[in-house]
Amino acid sequence: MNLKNIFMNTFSYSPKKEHKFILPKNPNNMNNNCKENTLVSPNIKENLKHLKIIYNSLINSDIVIRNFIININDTNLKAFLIFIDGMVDSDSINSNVLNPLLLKNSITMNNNSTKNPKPINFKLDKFIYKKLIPQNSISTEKEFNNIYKKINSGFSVLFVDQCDKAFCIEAKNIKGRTDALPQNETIVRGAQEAFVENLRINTGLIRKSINNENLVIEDLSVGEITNTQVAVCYMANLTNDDLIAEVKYRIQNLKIDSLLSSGELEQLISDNKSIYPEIIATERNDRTCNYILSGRIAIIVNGSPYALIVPAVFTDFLTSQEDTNLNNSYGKFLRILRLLAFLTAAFFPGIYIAITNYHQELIPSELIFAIAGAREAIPFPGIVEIILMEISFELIREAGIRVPSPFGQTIGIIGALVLGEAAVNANIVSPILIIIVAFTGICNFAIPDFSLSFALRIFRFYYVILGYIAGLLGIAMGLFIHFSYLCTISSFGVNYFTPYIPFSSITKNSSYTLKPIWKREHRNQFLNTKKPDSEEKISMKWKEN
Amino acid sequence: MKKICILSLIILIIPLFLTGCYDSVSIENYYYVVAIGIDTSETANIKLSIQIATTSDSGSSSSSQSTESKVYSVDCDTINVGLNILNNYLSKQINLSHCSSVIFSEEIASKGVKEYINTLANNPEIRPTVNIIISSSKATDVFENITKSGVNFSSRYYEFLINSDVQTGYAVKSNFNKFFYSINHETETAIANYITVNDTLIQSDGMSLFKGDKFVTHLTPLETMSYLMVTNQLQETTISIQNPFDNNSSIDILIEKQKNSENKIKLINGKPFIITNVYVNGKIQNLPTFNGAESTDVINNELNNYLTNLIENYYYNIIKKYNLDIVELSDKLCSQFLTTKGFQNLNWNEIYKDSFYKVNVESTISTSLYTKE
Amino acid sequence: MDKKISKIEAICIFIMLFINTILLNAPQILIDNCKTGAFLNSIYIGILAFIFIIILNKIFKYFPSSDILDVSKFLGGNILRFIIGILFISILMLIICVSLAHFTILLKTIYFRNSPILFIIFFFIISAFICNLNGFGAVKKSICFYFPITVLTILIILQNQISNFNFTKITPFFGDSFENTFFKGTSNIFIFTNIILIYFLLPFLESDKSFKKITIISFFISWILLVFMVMIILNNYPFNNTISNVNPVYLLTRKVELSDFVQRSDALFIFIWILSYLSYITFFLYFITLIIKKIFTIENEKMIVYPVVPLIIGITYLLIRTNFYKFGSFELYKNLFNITVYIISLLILFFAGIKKKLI
Repeated sequence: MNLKNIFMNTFSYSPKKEHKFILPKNPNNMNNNCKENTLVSPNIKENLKHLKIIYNSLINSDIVIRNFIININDTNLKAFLIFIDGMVDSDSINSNVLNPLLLKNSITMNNNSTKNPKPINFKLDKFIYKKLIPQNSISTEKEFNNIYKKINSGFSVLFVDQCDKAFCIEAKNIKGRTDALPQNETIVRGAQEAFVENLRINTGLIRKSINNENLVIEDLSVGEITNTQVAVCYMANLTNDDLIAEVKYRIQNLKIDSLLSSGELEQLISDNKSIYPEIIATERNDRTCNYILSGRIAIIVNGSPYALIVPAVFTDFLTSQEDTNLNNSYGKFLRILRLLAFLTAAFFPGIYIAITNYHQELIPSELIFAIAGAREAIPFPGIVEIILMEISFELIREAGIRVPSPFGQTIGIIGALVLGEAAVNANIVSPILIIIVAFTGICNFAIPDFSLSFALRIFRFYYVILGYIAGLLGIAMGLFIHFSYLCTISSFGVNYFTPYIPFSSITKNSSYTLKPIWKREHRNQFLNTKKPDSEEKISMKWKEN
Repeated sequence: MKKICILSLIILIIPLFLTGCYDSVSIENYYYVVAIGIDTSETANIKLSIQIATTSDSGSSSSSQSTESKVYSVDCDTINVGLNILNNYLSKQINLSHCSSVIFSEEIASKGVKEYINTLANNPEIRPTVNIIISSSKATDVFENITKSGVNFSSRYYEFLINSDVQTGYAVKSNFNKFFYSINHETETAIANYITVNDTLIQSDGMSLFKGDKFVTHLTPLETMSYLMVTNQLQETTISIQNPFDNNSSIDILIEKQKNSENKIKLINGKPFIITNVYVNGKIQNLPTFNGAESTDVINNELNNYLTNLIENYYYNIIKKYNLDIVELSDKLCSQFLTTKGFQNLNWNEIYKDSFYKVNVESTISTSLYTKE
Repeated sequence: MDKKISKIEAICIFIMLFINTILLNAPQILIDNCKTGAFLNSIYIGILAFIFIIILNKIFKYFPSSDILDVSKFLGGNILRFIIGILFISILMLIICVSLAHFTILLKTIYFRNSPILFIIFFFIISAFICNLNGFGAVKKSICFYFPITVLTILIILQNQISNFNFTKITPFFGDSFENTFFKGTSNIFIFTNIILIYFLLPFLESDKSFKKITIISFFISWILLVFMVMIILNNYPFNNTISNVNPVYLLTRKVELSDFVQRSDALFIFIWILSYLSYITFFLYFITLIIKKIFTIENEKMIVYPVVPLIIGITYLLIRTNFYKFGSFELYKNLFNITVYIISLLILFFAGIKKKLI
């Protein structure tokens, strides 16, 4: 090998070409207010055009518009049926709406064109209502606002040419509480609905909760062999357009053979290859809808019951849906508790090792005699003890996940009692260490997000070793490097510690402990949404009077 | 290739870190000293004794722990040499960071403690709140008394001892930091605790006074109480005065501070004139027969006279008899000068002997709370 | 966003740089020189520095968004810029090396008695090195993050000692003599190391209007902290004994106790001070790389850290081994700082302002 090449390869510097995306500040504020015509018009083309714009039907993948021709009084009239896939009962629509209108209506041999149809003289709406559709529950609507509400709640709406009313047909089949309960994100007070593996059912759940026509669900496909369907959900009148473009750009530019789970997609579209999670993965429906309504984007992969939410900041991994469902004071208490749990789980064993080996004067006198007396007969030094206990705790945890359920309880009891108690009695570990390891484990479980608690399990070892090498100096150095590394992480253009550090990004509604719900007027400013206020200044109007 | 080079560089540097842990000493490898005792010795300069608290794990079945005290002594020339010798024959390292008191015997304190205090002050393990105690007998007697008396020994034994006496007003809380700086300051006087050892008891007997670094005398408990009153450190104390209405009985009064006492000092004809105002509240504890508001006035006067006499006696002893400035009056005088040279020209040590003093005590008395006549 | 400093961040950085000098040894220098006159001396040098800052504010109005190097290039071309750059680099290097030597010796005497000095130095330098590799964003955010915690520790110390504050301990007011306090004491103005930041701050700010507010507010707060610290140290340790070689602010933390439960809590204070000190070194190291980048017109300043770090390790080790950091290098550092920051730079700005007006 050429010496010069080795030298140049090792010591030469060339700046990396990184794809760096920054969320821009001023979003494109396009007001898509096409709500000028509020009444159904007799011209079907206008109705169709209006609905296509409102529902973004070119990109929305679950809005279905079925065009067909019906024959009334020897006139061929155009008609179309609009509904949301996943919220309607297809069998009922086929047999009770399309079948009678298309097949049982005698048009087949008639080849008259639909252009310039003869004007109908009699009351068309009453004729169709009374004679043509055998569905049990139908209503007629004239105003578009009411029609949107009906479509959003699972109705199918029929429009016919030359008729100035629309027919709302109730053939709902909204997938309610499926068999899936949220297994990894249980809360006490809240809906117990979770996503399943089927994409359409998941999108139906989201549609049901959000209930608004501006919700867009776009379908993309990833993987050259599997062509997995991936749905990108966002609110068109809230979310920043650049963010939407960036998400779609990243998903569409993946040259892979197969995509089988949302975990793989999460790793493929993350900014940095960091240990810390940059995308929220949730299986709860209400949490996903909360995030979509605040201006973020949800990505759902067919075959995986987890939705990915982008962009994500650090404090999102310490929050759960319960904080907003409960009274504000309980929510504050829970959040502070979780933050303390995070700090304890990261630092407690490291600080214990540092203090007992280097800074014994910190411990109060009586406690130090208790610890020293307990450690007299232990053969291992402190660091070996603590690493042994931590590793056995991790093994118990892993074994507990994979063990068949009849033995699940037994493993827990064996692990805790036998290993812990017997180890103390055999003078292999000191009792105080059992307390420390158990307490750290409990604090780790208190963190709601699985990825973050996993990252902590890794970093805890790092701090224990640093604490043993140089006491609190080592831990300070570790913390400093760790923090500076965290500052470089960004998730889809948003810095990891927004909105707390840098201080310039502290704005309204950015406190970690939530304000009461009537004060949460603004959406998160770092998302740069199109509509910054989510409530009026005085939202409880009933108190004014 | 680049990664291999960087990795090998890191691997070369890491052993420098991991072979570190030079100072890591596990918590059970120390003996934690609770008290240090210094006495005179026949064969060498001093006799250094240390009192160690050890816990014994009494079996895994009961899993209870009891603390015992062990005492080790050695004859040596200086403290550091003594600690070295002790480290040599003890199985664990000695750690002074939980030491709560240093006990000097009266003999060695009268010869001068500057050397020992400076040695201890140079040791970063010593806490600044360590108590300095002078004992009338030897320090080893104190330790023996503790082990013999069977009292429940804990690491905070000395703190409890001193604190309980401070509550009664007969002892003062001494402080290693203050002691160290007072010894090395020309115009200040160092103070410390004083204890006496009987057969079964250890009790505090006032406070000890130092001139420079030599032990001079110890004040009686009543004089200590006056010192506390004058310097605003009195918490509460009980005194008994003669009943003005009945010569055979006495009244117990619980005294506490009403507001801060004032010490003013002026220079008149080149001699210092000290004015002290003390304000106390009193509550009568026992109820001899008396009635009415006039009787409280009479008792008030009696109390004022008693306290004034007490404090004047205290000042007489301090200024005329012992000639020690323990109230730091020189600092108050400093504020009247602009530069330190002006103050040094004053020659405080000479003129202090000729000071005048005037004491005013104001008290208000109330009867006690629960029972009524 | 990572390239700019906002208003609140600039104030935090300013105050943080000054807090670190207080924690290292600034009050002790004042007290050593002027005894009890340190109280008046601290007020006096504060007034002088304040006047200096106002003058700087007025002159920098002529040079929007430019720092001292750009101004010197405007006045004297590349040569003058080179000279000024080298002067500032040497000051910053001395600040880092002397303070690192101080802190290392403090840690070594108290906690790490058997460890070699290089071992302790490595911990500090490697953290600063890695943080600089992560970019300016990480440097800036580190300082802002550790700022509230450090201020909290100082407030705890202040609160603990204010209750037994005795005004007579500060007397006599003028210390040794009038001349010592006011004339010789003027050179103590080198304590305000954060004034270096003013020369380089303008290109980082988003808008030039906040420059005046930033400098004045942060200077006031740091001045008040200095005065309080001097008062409290004088209250606790008598002036005519410089017995203690150890930092007196550290000795104050030994007195912080929470009833009888937590008695010697200085290790926790040291832990937080190590963090703030690391952000201090990192920040100055970033500035060294910035100046080198400007002088030699290099594109990216991240890689300049590689040659600078071994230089710092070497100089620090040399200072400790030759015991030079205590007395000798102080005089050198003091004079170099005063001359460069207060005299030469002011003259350059003055002449550049005249030249701009004439053009």
